[in-house]
Amino acid sequence: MTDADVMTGPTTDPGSDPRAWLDRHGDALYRFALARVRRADVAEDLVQETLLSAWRGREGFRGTSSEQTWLTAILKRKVIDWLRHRIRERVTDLGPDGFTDSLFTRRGDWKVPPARCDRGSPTTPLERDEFWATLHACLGKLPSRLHDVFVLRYLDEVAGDAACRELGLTPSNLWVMLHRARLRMWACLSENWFRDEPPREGIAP
Amino acid sequence: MICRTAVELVCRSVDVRLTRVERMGLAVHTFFCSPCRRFRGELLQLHHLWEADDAAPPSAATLSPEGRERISAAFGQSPPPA
Repeated sequence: MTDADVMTGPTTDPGSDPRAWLDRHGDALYRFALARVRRADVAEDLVQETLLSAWRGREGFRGTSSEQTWLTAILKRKVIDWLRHRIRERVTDLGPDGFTDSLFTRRGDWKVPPARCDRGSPTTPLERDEFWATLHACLGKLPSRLHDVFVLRYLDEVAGDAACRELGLTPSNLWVMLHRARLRMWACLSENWFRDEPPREGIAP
Repeated sequence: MICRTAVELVCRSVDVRLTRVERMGLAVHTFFCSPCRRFRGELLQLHHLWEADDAAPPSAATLSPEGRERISAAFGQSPPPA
């Protein structure tokens, strides 16, 4: 998918001012990007590129989605491109993973078997907000290469062989990285969500 | 099958189809191992939630005033706000 594909968005009258988009959606777009690239300067650049692309492509808009959905779709492509580029330029061999080792005994049994959980998927709006905040706090703690691969996987559904080639990774490298990322995310959410009775304070280190 | 392998297979199963031998091994292991059963349930739950994560997280982060100004300036060619 390219910018052109997502440029069949809404919206308003094409004569509207891009500064109005910045006022209305700038912060939401920034939060979307920041949560996924973890760098304020990059997130701001991506918001800028998004608004400029959107502005340049405004003639092609059709009112099929909300302004924000359409802008977010353009931003999402830009975040994906940025993550891909970063993964490609930092391909290195994967060493052993101390984190996985820390969860299991030498024989491969759980050191601390996961106990019965206190709560499951979030249901109420309040719980959902709390869950997403917890999830993003956990995401923030992933080592950067695992973070990039994990975020890209869920933004772009990268998994196939072609996607691996494009990233300069072998499928087995990609799986290993995703496995390590998921295990860390699970461990963090296991501690701070599944086995944490509300109300809670902060995220344990 | 050891727990460590079971956990690895659970993680991989969300991206690729496991081989028949792997699927059977995992099924037998999780039938007898409640910690791994719990892990599998939680990881699959999380996987579906991660797939649904398509929005800005609840946070108070905002564009910096300088960033906002810079972006606004980049629209140099466009007409000023009404």
